[in-house]
Amino acid sequence: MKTSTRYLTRNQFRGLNKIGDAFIPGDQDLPSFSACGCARHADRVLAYLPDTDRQDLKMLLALFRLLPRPFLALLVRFLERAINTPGRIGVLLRLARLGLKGLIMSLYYSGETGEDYTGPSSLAVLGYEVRVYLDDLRP
Amino acid sequence: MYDFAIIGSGAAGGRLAYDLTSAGAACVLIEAGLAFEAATFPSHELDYSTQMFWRGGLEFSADARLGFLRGKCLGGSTVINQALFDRFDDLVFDEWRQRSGVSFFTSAAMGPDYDAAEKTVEVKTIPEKYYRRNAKIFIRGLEARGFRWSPLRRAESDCGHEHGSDCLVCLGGCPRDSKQSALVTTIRQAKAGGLRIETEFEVHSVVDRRDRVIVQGLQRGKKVELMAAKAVLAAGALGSTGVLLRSVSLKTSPRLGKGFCCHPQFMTYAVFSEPVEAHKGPFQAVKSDDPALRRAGYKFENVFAPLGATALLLPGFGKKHQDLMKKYRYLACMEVCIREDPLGEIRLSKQGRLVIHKTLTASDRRKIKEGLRLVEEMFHVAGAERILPCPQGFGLHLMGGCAIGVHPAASVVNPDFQLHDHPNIYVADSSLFPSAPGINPCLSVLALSHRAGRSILSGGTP
Repeated sequence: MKTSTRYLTRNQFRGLNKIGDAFIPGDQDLPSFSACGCARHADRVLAYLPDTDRQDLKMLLALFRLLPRPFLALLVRFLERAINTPGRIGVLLRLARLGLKGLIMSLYYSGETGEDYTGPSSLAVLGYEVRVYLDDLRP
Repeated sequence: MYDFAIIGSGAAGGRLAYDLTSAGAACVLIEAGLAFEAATFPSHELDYSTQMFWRGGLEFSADARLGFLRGKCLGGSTVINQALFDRFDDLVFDEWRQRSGVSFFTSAAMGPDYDAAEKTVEVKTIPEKYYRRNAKIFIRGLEARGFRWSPLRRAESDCGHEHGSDCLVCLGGCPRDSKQSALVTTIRQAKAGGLRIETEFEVHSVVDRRDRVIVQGLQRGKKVELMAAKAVLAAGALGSTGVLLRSVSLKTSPRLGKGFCCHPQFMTYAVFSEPVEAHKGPFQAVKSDDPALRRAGYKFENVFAPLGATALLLPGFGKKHQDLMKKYRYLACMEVCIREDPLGEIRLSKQGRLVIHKTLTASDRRKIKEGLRLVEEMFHVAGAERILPCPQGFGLHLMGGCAIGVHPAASVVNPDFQLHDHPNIYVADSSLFPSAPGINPCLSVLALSHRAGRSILSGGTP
């Protein structure tokens, strides 16, 4: 199983899976964030972030690796409830929430999975399929 | 040396490239993003949202209460928008004439420019037989509240609705080339006429040497300079204003960066007991079209978002959020979009990054509150089981920052589209707007840039 990527060290990769599970713990239908293995595709997002944003995110992920899971669950709850916090602190909390939730949700609901994962993808569970018809344009 | 260096390749840049190249001028079109085409658009939301938008997907206001989306690819935002084509009305032009002193802001004077803009694209409405349930819920809600609605005018040629094409895909570029983006209309024609295109070239600044301009920037990580007789900024409110903030003095352009607006919009999802399948088929077919709403300063839109974006927008986390996501096919969506006070400001940080100050006024907040209340009522009427307002606001129509006007103390660009103090530098995009129009701006950007092209070629007011 892959435990690092070009942009994420082993610790940052683990941190991403831990905070990912706080957002998406999984249930009888959907796998947890870490179980589906979508974190291995993180570089597809990280490669296009501005350097400063990527560094900030990597620092946070490394920190999450060290924090206990119950604390991360509380942190996620706090971020969701702190949307209207005023002042400079409020700005940082909103940016942290959007950055983390954006990365985690876009990876998980991409339907991409790890090579060892054999269960259904999030797209299959949700019945999500979109396509544009092209057959009539082919010569 | 080129006759014109056109910075930005969206609606305005594409149109200028087409008009100036057609007139025989040697032009270079400069785009910061990648060049895609129908066969190479990233098919996955995960990839197109990072590869085709600035800052890897989303930019934020300084207080992080609003997110901004703008295209970063050849063709600019016209590749990733919904290609909604409405003309501005007298309400807009009367206010703009008053604010700017510019006499051509009338429906009659702009009429030929709109006509010319519409000639380069196909504009259609979606036949009613293809309306999906999300549109029907929207219509039912509007009619129950006594609001008028009408079909949206869309710049598209042949979306294959009869074959069941899902237009949500085209937020990452239309693989049928049906969407009438700059990429498949103006740029394609200008390229055939000799236009030179430089992509992955992020312009830092423009130096005005009086006999020529030097465009400076980074192309694929290397410092690059281009010389032209004149530069035309067409990189949108954030792009054009950012380049000018790095290029000219605020002493000579005191209004530069001021008057930024973005039609702040707030989405509300609703869960229904039967599948809505809002992600299938054409998903933005109709609009609210009511004089009372126009006067009140807001409108309703019938929108939807792909899976990843919806997961970000829906409130909450954990198992409750997962349960909501399992209802994705049962979700409908509406949004309120306001015509806000033009009090935003674009600045540069000490590190040279764009900082977008966009604080909503008490009047703006009243419009949002009233609009969200009505959205909730409309969803209730339509039989929603649960209503979920999204906490995050967005701005998709980025405007202002280089307002056009007669007086240098009150504007940045003169009625001939030149910077007041730098006649070799033109601006020809949505950054010219003196205030928020409250109407989708794409067609008017095309019309204004066509007018700018005529002005540039004639050496003054056409």
